[in-house]
Amino acid sequence: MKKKDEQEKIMTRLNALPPIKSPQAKESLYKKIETQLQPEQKQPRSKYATIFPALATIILVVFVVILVQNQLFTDQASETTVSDYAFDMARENRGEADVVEFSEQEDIIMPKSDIDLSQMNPYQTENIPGITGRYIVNATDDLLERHLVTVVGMSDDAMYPVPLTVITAKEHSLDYYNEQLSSFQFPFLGLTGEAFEFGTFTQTQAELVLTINDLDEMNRSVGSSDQAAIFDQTLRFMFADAYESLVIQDEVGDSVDLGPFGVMDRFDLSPVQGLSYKYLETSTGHKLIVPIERTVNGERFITIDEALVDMQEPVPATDIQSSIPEGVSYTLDLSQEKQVRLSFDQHEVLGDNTTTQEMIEAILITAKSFYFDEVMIMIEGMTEDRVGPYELNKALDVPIGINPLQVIE
Amino acid sequence: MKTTFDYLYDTYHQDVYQYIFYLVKNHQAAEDLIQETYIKVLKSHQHFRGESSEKTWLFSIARHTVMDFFRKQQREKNKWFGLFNKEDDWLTVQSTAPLPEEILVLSEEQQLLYAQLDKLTLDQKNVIILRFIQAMSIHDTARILEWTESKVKTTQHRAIKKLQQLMGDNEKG
Repeated sequence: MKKKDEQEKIMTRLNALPPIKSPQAKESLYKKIETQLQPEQKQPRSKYATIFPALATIILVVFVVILVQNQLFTDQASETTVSDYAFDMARENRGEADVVEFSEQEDIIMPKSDIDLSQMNPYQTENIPGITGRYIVNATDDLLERHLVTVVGMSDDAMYPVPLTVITAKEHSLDYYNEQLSSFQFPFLGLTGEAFEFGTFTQTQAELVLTINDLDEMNRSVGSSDQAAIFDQTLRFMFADAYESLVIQDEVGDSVDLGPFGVMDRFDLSPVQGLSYKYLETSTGHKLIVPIERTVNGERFITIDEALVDMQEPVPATDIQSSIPEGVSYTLDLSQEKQVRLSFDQHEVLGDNTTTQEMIEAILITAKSFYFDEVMIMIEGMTEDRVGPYELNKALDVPIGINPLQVIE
Repeated sequence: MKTTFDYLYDTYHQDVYQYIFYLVKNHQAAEDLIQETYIKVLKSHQHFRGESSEKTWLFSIARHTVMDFFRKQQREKNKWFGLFNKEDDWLTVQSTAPLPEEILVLSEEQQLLYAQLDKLTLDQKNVIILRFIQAMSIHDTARILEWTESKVKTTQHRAIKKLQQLMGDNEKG
């Protein structure tokens, strides 16, 4: 009772906080606004304003084609550097207006054979053979002969780790990790992750070791604090299943100074569990499924019902979209061991469509993070018995990976 | 354009300015942000379709403008201080600006409450400002924040509880 009274008191005090007046006069504010709006309204667009950039673009494209042809005819088999222009071209090809600026250190290294102005993105994220899901990797016979490698980037604002599943014919080994991470071009997916360019993974006496090859260069390029955050967020998603911790060292085996993290010689890899999966739309227009460990209020998910509630909440400030549409209602049944049963009430957005498929995929991977093996989805009022590749009213296995991609070779 | 501006200013300016100010707690920043809000509103006012009330629409634009400002600030901060902040850290905004006149004349306890608002997450702060300082309904608050009404209620409850705890801690301390 006393607590309730105290809360009432706080509310009364909040109500009593005074109005704050704007010190700026109406006319002076209007003048400022008018000045900012006028150039757009009054200046007619000169015809040269469209002709000149178009001509410049044609000249640049011809110039780059000549350059590329010259390079293809040389005997050098090593990798070459494609300037920021190539990346900008790729973005233009996708019709995007905003341009990401890259520094000298962030130049993109690509094998010559990958240089293709019509399709600069070196990663295939759709229509991958053997992949039945859009954003998840379901276990299929077609994948038995192939290997899955988890590579983790960060969202552009470094808020969320984004695990990617590279589908490859090569053996899954630390060498492959080293190859993938040092040359992985996260910016093509609207992600960041350059921290790994400077490190090499090795395994000694059952311990995983990350050796920073050139600490000075790494700190110059990204900044030690950024490195630490990226390592901390991403290493767990890559290795927590197999290792409890990771040794971090410099070239001579000494511990590494990672700014605000202090001098580090070991990272604890706490288990990745109890997640709410939602969708992130990146600056390059890619949509990726992302694991979220906490609610917007900073609390961890204890049970799957909490995660399911969170999945209906978008976070517009960080470009996170909900994975279960708002307004959709359901009944959760956890009476079967290792199985999640969800009965959705009839709703106009639910049907054999992309939204529902995305919802099912997010639920499947969320269930996996709470150690469930199967999910059964029922949707009231649906005449079809499936949504994309997923059968309704039947137990579906949880996936083996998320965000599948293949390197275009 | 002037007519639309006059109408919006005369009808909503004080409320929107106050909302922005309580979020950023700095007159200069609030002036810049309200200016930016008007620019966005005037550019799109003809497209306002009346699906929400004009007031919630205006507040929603102001909220997005302030969020963009905080995100930009955070990115700048990250360049210098690192990216360790967990998801919720950046959503807590600490003000360093001097107290405005309206607050200086308040009792010590009210000044403390004003200061403690900075210790709430940005979501909690948004709800508290809209519900108690702007006296908006749960329905309108939900529309502005693009949330469900139940989320507004839960966030409000947690915010009040946190303020109660913060004020209590201070009394003990």
